[in-house]
Amino acid sequence: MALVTGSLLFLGSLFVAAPIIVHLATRQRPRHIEFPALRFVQQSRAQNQRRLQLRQWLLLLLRCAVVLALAAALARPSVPTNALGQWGAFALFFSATLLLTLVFVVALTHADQRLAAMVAGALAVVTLLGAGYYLWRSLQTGEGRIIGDEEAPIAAVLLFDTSPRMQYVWENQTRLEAGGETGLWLLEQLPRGSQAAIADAHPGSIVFAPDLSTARAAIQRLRITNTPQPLVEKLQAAIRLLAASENERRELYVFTDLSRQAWRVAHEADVREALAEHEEIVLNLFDVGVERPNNVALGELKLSGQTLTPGGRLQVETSVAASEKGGSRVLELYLEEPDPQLPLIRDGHLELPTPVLRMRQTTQPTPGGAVRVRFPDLPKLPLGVHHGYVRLVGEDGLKIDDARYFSVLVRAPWKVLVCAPPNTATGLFTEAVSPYAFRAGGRSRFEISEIPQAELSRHDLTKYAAVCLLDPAPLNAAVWRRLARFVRHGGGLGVFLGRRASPAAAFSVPAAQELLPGVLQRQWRAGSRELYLTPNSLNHRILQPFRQIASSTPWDRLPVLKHWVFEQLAPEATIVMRYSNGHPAVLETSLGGGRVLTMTTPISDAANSTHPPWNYLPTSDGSWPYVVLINEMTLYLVGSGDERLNYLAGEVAELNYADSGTAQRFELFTPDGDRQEIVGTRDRVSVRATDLVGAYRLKGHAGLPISLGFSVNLPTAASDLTRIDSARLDVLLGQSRYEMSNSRGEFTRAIGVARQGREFFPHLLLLLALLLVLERVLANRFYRR
Amino acid sequence: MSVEKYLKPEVIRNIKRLDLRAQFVVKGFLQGLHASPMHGFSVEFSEHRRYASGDDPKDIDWLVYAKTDKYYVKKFEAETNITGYLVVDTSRSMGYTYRQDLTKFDYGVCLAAALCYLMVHQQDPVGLITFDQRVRNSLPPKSRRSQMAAVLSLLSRLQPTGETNISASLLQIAGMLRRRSLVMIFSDLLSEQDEVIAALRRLRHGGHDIILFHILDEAEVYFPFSGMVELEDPESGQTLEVDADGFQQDYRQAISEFRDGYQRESVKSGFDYVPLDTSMQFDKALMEYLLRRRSRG
Repeated sequence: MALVTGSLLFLGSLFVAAPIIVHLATRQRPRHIEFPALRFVQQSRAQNQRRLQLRQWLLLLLRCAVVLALAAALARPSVPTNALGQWGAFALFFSATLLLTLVFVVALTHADQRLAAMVAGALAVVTLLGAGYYLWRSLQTGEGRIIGDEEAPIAAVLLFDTSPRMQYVWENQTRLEAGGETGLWLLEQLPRGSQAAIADAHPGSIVFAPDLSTARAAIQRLRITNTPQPLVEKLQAAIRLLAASENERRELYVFTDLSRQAWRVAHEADVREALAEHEEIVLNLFDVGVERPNNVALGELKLSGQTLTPGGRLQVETSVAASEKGGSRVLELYLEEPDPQLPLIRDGHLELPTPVLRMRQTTQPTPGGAVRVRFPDLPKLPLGVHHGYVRLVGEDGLKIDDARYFSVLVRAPWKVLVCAPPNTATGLFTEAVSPYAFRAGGRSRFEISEIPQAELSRHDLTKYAAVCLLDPAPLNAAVWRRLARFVRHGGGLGVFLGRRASPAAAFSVPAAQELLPGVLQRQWRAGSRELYLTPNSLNHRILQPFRQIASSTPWDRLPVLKHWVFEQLAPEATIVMRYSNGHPAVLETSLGGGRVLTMTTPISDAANSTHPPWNYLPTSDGSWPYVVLINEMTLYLVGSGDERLNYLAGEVAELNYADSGTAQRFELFTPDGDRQEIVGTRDRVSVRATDLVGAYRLKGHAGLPISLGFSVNLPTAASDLTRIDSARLDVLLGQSRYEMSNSRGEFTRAIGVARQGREFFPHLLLLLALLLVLERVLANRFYRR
Repeated sequence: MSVEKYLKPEVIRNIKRLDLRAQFVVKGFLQGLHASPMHGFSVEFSEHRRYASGDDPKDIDWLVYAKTDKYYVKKFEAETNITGYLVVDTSRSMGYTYRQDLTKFDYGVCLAAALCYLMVHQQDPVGLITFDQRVRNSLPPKSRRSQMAAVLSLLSRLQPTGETNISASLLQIAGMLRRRSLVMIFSDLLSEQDEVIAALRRLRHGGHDIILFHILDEAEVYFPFSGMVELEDPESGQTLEVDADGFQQDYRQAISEFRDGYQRESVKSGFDYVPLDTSMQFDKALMEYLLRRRSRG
């Protein structure tokens, strides 16, 4: 509790003596009445005298209470908002105590009301205990927070949410501008000698500005960041800063749009606990958000692939979500014309390839709903990195989600070496991954080379992305070591074991064990039992196409008759797929930068072979799961998915330039036209500063021209304007632990309440009036003329 | 207080009205009031009246019946030999009223005057005795019409002062009265009840008829005060500071018990007890009492 004019309370309390003196000195004389029948009065005189004395004391007490209430009202006591409940409970219990005491006293004066007096007395004691408890709690709760003195210097942190959502325009102001304006106004309201720190969602520590003008300049310099730190983390940092401040009065102002995304938090108890620990810190939230925002947002772009081969088709799919108003909206897809000379700085100006409008789609999202939009395939993109974007035509409150960028790489087919012993049919595999029609049309993703297994020892493997051993016969250690070296350098090796893998012990030599997932032990025959592939878990990338159709994939129509069984699986080996009998079907191991997929049944057994086939995977009716599986395995082996060209803001972009030449230094052109020098190491180049949205282009310096690039987008959640509800905020920050306002008037009031606490002036005046009325009533009643 | 006070128009009117309205009472109730051995002793014919149910058949005038074939009763103006004494308390407490027009003393004097008038009109001898601590004044009983003026004249000269000793006074009166008389006492009886009762018994034992007019002020009956009051006994000067609000019930209870004590004693000892307070109209109160007594007699 604090007192605005505490001295008045002390002086006023001294005046309590006045009614006592007046009471004693000028005690109102009772009416004098002549009354002959006095003898009858005398009989009950003793009891009446006691009643009289009690009433006199009561009147004196009331008069003292009047003076005290007046002094207390003039002293303007106030309590912290968070202690208001406790003070209220204290007042309630205390009032009840007074009332019960009054009843007790009155009942005492009546001889026939002894029981009532006892009950009232007991209850008065109980309520007095309650009042004492809540007084103690109130003093505990309000401890540490300074209230009452509005001119005391303040340590203030003004925390601005500078996430992309704050670019929402409402009444010709972005939300950040609106918050900044209020922040500048607030700085002017700070008492002299105050210190202020300006914090935003950018990474970095918070420090107090040397003076308020520096703080003002910091507010004017506030910029949106696409990689905002969680607001709650910054809030905790601000609390830590304030806790260490020398100023005893500490205030924290948060300018937020109160969106649900802004207040996402991993450990929700942290902030609440930090705030509870530092009760002296006053938290004010200024809501700059819009209750019903009008925004149409583009969803994440889904590309048919980030890496395409010549002749491959690019398919772009996205979604359009409307928050408030629906209606017809037009989407446009732009794609840049590749130009190896660009980007280029000419006469101080950056020249970029020209985006060309390739497609246009119209969509009609419903309010609060989302519709998916799929653009027709973009055919035959030439080799190289292609940048493009999809944009919504028209304007709404938030621009940042009206365009989404994408990059795709069109590259030459991956070279795959297929190696098989003599008389092993490789055609089934070759046709599955690179059909003739594709090869003829130049659309094939793989360029297949076939060699006999015997040539493996001398064939140059470095130009291949992957080597597939179909039903291999035992290899000598030197070949295994060559293959291991190939894998270590990033190559992919597929081993499809079949009947020629005998003796099994030949595959257990140390050189082979470096690549294989375990010790090859025995063959497992299905006999009359049904055996087929059963991919229980579809987490692995090669099984991704089956995720949507897991239950309808007809694996049971692709019978397996025999397979090898590995024992003593290597610890690093992972089982990708199993048979219905539980034994592993596909296993993966990694070595250096490469990976090895081992399948325990062959994929090249023809149905009409002289030997009974080990399975009917390639030859059954409806063997499409086999085709998909083999293609995905091959793509995985050549590392197609490793080439990532589309990132979210803040992620580190990793680009591989091994195939593109030997350049070590690159020029990086950021979306805002800035140019930076970056250096690549070990065929890879990393770009860490990806907080701008758009296309990033890299240009090689040395050797052949190299064009690399990637696109950066904001996560869809970044533009989610859904507002947080107050209940959730209460959970996060603690109920009654913060003040909320959305206008300067409310803000002023909230600050006033925080600095002054809740004043009891009007309540005390009311109490004073009641006491005066009571005093008058009792005085008139006791001394009626 | 002057004689005129008691003869002021409204009082005269009251008395006259009483006279008119209670004419038959005047001519009959005192007859009933008398002891029966004296009945029919004196007869001065007054008038005839149609017989009505309830009349004594022996009063029927058979001569008139013979002439008219109708029943008439003869009415007589009684020539009484009853002697009345108006015994008036003149102590200081009798001069009290809180908010009524008449003090207890005035009220008692009005009653006494009315009864005096009635008795003189009836030609009964009536005397007056006043007392406080002892008998102070006395007028011997006479039935002359001038007696009324003498009684009123004496009463108007008196001022209620001093303390009272009712029992002693009554005992003194009992000693004074030689003949059996009708003793009409006008007092607030604010004295020790037991002693007063003992004196009343003594008086009754002397063969006197007693009508005890117990006159209290309205405030003494109802205790209409509220708030803090300081009460002073005018006789003793003793004061008490009390809270009237919480006290009213107890007081009324005490007064009620006090009156009930006399009521019970009146039944036991065979005298008439008439509790009155100054808020009651004295003529009405008197009429009621007389009617009640007549119906009883």
